[in-house]
Amino acid sequence: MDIREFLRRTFLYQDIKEYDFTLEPSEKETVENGPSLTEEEREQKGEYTSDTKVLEYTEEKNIFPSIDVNLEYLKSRYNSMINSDIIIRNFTLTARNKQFKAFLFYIDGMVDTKLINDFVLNPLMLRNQSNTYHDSENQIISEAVTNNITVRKIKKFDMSDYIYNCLIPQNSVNREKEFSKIFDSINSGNCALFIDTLDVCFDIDVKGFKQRGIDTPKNEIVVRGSQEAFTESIRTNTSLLRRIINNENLMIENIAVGSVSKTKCAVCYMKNIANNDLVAEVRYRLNNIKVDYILSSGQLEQLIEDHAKSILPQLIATERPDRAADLILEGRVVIITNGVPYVLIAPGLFFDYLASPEDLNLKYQFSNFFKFLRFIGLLVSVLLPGLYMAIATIHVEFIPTELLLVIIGSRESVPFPIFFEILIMEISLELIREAGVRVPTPLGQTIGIVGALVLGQAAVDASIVSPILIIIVAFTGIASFTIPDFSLGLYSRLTRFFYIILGYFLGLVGIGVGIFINAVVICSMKSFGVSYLAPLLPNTGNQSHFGIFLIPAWKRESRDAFLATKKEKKEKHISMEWKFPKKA
Amino acid sequence: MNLSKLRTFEAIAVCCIIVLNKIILNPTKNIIYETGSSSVLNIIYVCLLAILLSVGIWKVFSKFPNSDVLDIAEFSFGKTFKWFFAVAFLIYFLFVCSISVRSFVENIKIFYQKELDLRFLLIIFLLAAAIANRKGVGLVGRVASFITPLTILGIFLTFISVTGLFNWYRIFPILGYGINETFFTGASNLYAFSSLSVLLFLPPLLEKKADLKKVTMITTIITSLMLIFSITCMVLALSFSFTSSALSPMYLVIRSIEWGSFFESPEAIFTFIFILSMISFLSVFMMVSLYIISKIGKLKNGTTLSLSLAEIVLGASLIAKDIPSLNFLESVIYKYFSLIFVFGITSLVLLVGYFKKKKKGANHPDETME
Repeated sequence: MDIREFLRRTFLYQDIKEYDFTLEPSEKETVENGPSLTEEEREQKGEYTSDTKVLEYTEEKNIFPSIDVNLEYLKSRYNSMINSDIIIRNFTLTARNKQFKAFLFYIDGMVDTKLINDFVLNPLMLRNQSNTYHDSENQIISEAVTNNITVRKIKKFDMSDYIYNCLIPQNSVNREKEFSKIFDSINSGNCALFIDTLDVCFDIDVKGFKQRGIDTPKNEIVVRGSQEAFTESIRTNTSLLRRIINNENLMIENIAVGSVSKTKCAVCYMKNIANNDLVAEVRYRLNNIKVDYILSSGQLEQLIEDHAKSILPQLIATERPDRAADLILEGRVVIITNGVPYVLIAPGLFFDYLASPEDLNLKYQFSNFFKFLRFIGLLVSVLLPGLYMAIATIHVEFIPTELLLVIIGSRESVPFPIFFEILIMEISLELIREAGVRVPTPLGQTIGIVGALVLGQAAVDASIVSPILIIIVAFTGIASFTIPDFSLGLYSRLTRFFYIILGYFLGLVGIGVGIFINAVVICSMKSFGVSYLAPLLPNTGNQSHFGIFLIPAWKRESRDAFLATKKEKKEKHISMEWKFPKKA
Repeated sequence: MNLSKLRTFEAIAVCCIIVLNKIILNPTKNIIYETGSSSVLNIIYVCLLAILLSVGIWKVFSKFPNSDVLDIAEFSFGKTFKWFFAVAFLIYFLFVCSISVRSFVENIKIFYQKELDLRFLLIIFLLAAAIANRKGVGLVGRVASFITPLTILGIFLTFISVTGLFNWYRIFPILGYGINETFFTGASNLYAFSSLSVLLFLPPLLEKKADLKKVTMITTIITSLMLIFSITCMVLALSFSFTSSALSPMYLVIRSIEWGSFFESPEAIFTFIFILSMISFLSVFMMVSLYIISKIGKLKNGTTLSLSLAEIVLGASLIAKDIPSLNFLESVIYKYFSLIFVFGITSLVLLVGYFKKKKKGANHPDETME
């Protein structure tokens, strides 16, 4: 951009046409996925009972004798056209030398394919002694001859019994008649065998999660939560989510990104909860990335976020399946990238980055206290060196006299101006941190200790920096460690330098202007159509938070309104019915 | 997320921040200078008048849903008048903006930044306000909704902190310089609320049009309370000689605050809040000015002119040569400009519009305003 163009854009009028996506309230669920009335309305009408919610997910329906009808029903329930990990294997089953149409239905990544091949498909498809054996149709249980009349007790041939007893050499096979039970089994890693003309389905235990490959989280450590972390394999990651959510409404769509690498990405959301527009927007952005290759979720994040120039994170990156599952059930969309143990969650809002996965495991009072501490930590990390700079250089009168004398005394032997002194220390701290991250873990800790203790002490002894500054920098460093999100931590580390410069040149005016501009930037941002400061601004009413704080677990009735989910409620008005039973 | 509309809370914050800034700056000093010991009585009386006036404004606007004062001016006197009226308002807002920022920056310069160039400080403030305006009306409201509660808290904390310094004898004689100065000529102190003229442009900018009444009433009540608190602080805690000082009276009040022997000078916190508050104030005035420009220029996106507008304000703020001439602009020109234009001409326009509409409505009950 030349200077003329810059000036024209800055000072003259122009019609700006920017890409703008705003999340609007979605339509309530259609009849297929539930009622169009809200739960409250239905509760008032007396239609909503404690079991209704369960039924909404698993409509009580029996298996049909026609295999085509069963197949269509399953396809529609699991949205197999877009759900990438749903596998339907059609085949012809041989039984008693006759052939029947059949299909297997299972979720990729949750089953052991070797078990399916060897102990389900093999005995059913390949001709062998069992399936070619042909005896009379009816089985004689007992026979008695009285007055030359033979009385036979006959058990009519039962195809289902025959398959169950002879053709599936598996230790755990159940026959189910209801779809709801079949859904539960499929969701938990079993496979379902449907055979034409039979109104029962065989629920075969072929679970095969990749247990050993799953590691503990490295960066998002919790005391009381799950110790599982995502891995590099996309299918293992989807199976981790499936296992936690355990519901057929979980959609996992595959999208390939990168014209050369064709990196597999999976878009995961709850069909009956997530806002359609939000899902469509995620899909749209992923489908319209014109790059040769994508190797990491960080790379992908930069290509799909709303404000590409902003240094604030706009998508949550997590390595914890429980956190991802929690946010999916809240109505957000998870993007898994193949080859990366971190998944992205859209939308990512400012206060999400101050939340720790531990928060939901703790009582809300503790969670809120820690959240408040983290917020203070963020403020200290960003502002403290700048404020010290402003007060120590320009607004000296604000420092109490005793403290001022201490500061002056401590700086007596330091030859550098305070600005230079603070820059030396801050850059040293960043160097130590960066070195600690880049070297192997045991060495990293040593570098940290050596850097902090030896270098700091030596710098004070050599009169390069004052002891008070060491306290300021160390306190800032500790405060920055309280920020639970890595990306927000980086943001605080970088902005701190701007505040130091502003504080030095303009004092409190500079800091004030800096905060104002920062507030303007944060207020103007949105992530996937949601205000970046939600739920604080705009305050949309129904949510599971009071401002930025969590409310008690029994009061979190609604999903966050800013997500405009299809299902508003996630708890009944009285969630602890054991304590407050319904009056008869 | 709609950044072209204001939510109710944001609208209240936007309206409050402008009067709160006037409290921080010199108008309060002029009120005390003119009414003496009866300032508290006078300001209570003025606040009651302001509440009545806001009821009147709401009544008029209820007849003109989704219209601003320019639409009413067009309805009352035609298109040409609307154009002149809009330009007059634009000049008024730019004038208020420029003298306020200049006054605040002069104070800052006296306290802390003696060596910094005045123009540099002005540019910093105006640039921040212009950046806020680049993104739209809703954004200015959002930022104001963070800063206004802080400012209210600051003023309230000041009131609480200086109660120990109150000298109750200072309210005597209770009628100050006399009944006339307190209630008749003193009514002119209504100009302290003149910044509320921003309210006249809010209806089309509100997300919920029906909340105009709520916005008007809550704003007037909050600002009245804050004005009463601050005038009370100034009258009871400071000697009358402060009216001759070049400094902002609010700063003189907060300088006298002491929180124990360690926190000897807590004014840093207040100064910090007032800096944020001033930038927010500027952004609100620029927002309304840009709205007027967009309306009369029929521009789709007037916010792109925010930097140009900031330049004009910068130029206007440098007109006053020194602090005495700035004081003259604030205490005389601003006061009478406000009284004549905002409370005189504008009230007349609103009244004419109201009665014309009433008459028209009686003749053609189905007719609605275009």
